[in-house]
Amino acid sequence: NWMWLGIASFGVPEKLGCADLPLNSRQKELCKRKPYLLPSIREGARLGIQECRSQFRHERWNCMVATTTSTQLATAPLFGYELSSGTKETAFIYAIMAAGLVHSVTRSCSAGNMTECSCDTTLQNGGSPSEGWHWGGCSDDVQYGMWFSRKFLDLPIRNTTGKESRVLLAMNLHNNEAGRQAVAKLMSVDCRCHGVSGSCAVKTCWKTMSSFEKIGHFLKDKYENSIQISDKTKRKMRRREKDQRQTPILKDDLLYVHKSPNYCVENKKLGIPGTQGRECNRTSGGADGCNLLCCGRGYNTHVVRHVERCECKFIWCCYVRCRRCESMTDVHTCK
Amino acid sequence: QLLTDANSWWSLALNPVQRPEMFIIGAQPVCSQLPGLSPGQRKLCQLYQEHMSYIGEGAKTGIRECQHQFRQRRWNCSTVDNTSVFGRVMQIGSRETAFTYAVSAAGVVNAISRACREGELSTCGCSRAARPKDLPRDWLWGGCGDNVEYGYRFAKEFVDAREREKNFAKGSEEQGRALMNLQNNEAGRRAVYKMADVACKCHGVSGSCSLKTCWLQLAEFRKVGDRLKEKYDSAAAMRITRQGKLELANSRFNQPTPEDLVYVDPSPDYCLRNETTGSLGTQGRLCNKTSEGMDGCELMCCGRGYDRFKSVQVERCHCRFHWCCFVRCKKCTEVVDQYVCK
Repeated sequence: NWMWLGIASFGVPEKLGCADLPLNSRQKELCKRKPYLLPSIREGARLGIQECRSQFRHERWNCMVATTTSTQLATAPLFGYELSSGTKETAFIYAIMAAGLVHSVTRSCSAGNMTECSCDTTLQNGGSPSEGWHWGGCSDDVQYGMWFSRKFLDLPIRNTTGKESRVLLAMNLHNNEAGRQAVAKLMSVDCRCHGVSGSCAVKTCWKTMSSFEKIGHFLKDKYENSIQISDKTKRKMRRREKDQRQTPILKDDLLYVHKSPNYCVENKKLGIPGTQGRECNRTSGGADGCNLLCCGRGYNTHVVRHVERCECKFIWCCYVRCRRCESMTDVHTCK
Repeated sequence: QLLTDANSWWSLALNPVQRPEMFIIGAQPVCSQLPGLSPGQRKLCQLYQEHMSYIGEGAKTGIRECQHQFRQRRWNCSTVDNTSVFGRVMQIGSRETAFTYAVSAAGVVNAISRACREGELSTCGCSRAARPKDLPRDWLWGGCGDNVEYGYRFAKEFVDAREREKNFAKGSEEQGRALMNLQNNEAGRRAVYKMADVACKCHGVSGSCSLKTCWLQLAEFRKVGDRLKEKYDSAAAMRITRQGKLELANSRFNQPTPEDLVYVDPSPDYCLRNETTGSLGTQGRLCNKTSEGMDGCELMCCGRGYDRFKSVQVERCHCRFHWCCFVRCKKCTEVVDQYVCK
């Protein structure tokens, strides 16, 4: 699975040829033809994984990746059960990973690391002279990033032989696209003024992608409001609830087929670690609170000692001397 | 499986205790007929006949509070019969058992303290607590406060009697369980004692505050229940040592204080009916489809799924005052979805 490229412990491209990487055959072929793409793909996977962990770090399912030996890389799924279960978590993973790939490839284009793409050339001229600004700088070519993401991620899914459920494949394709749409939707315009003493005589603007954290928040929101679709899909995906079928499914909605497990208790078969031992917030009523995160099992308390430098003073001449300050904090972990 | 007495003084909550006047006629037979008392508690019954109805009230308060605090849990503090009250569930030294012992002891402190203040018991009266040092000088310390000191002492004597009158083999499971009960009883009593606070009233022309009188007053029992529920969530897992003391099962965690709950056994999951553990299971329980918490259908039903049915709710609505003088309302019916565990 290509997502393994996002794990830091994985080898650098020079040490491993395309044939050794956890890619499917079409992806390996693309890698051989365009080896300069590999750093962007790896960075995209890393972005996706890191953002998933960040968005879910206080939840029962906290997006922990599976650990496995390198010999199992090609076949072991990075996220375990979540990747194939058809749940909301599956939807988020596909979307955030696709978005990560768009983001990193597009950033590589703007940085001039790629031969096939650069700044968005359609925005080199024009603008609005009457309003006093014009396109300039380097606008992110998100269209190339999206095109590449579709080519790298969607074609292998589309060409999968029929062993997997057709509705799961359709769901994954849709959620990949939702991730890409999130990047495109959150594009913003940055501007800079030029002129005598910083006056705004001339204003140059360019389009830029939002920070990946912002995209992560957007997709997390979509996850919270994701839509369950029927698993009896014929040619078009439709909502599971009959009375809601008239409401259209949008391109940037996240879709899932199966209800999630509760993620409370360890389930080795599914690779669910459960919430035992997780740190929780005793005073919070939200998902990170001990009540919800520990699923009613209660929590244990232990003391953690922090040592910090404090009361630093500059001594002439020339060094800084600090005292060591210790503080004790109660840490709560789920039973 | 650890065997403890199925009977408990909690059964006083479910069997009406006669008013004190009835004890005068035949003291011996009445005390001996009360179910669930240990020999020591029976002696205390004979010595303090007039207290018994308030102990029953205290147990009832404790059970009611337990059922409130656990109303959205798999185990919801159901009473199964009038003798053992909660059934075999209490034979497991679990966190749920810890909470039940604590809240029942708290209920007794609460009931006895109040009965003292109301002049119902001949051996105690108003609180004799000293005037708090931080009370402003021009406020009066008087009135009749709840006698928490007496309530605490009496509850300690009565509730702990069962555990104290027995001899256990040192380091045995039975001793561990007895020590657990004593600790949890004490935690319950201390919750009431510590939460009692100063209450004041103003006197003066047209209710002005020219004169203010203060006294010691029990906290609302719901607040005591909330505090003990918090203690339940953070209860400490213990085990009995060969020297006959309780120690933390995992020394990494904080040592429990006398106000903390402790337990010696892990909880059953309470998902399915189980005659051995006494679990009633969650089949047929109402659940909240949209909740992620323990009251949600996913957790309450233990992943078994749930059925949906429609229920009609009738409410008063469009109330209007009519001169003079009554309020007339209409009846509104609403069809509501309800979810029940499979």
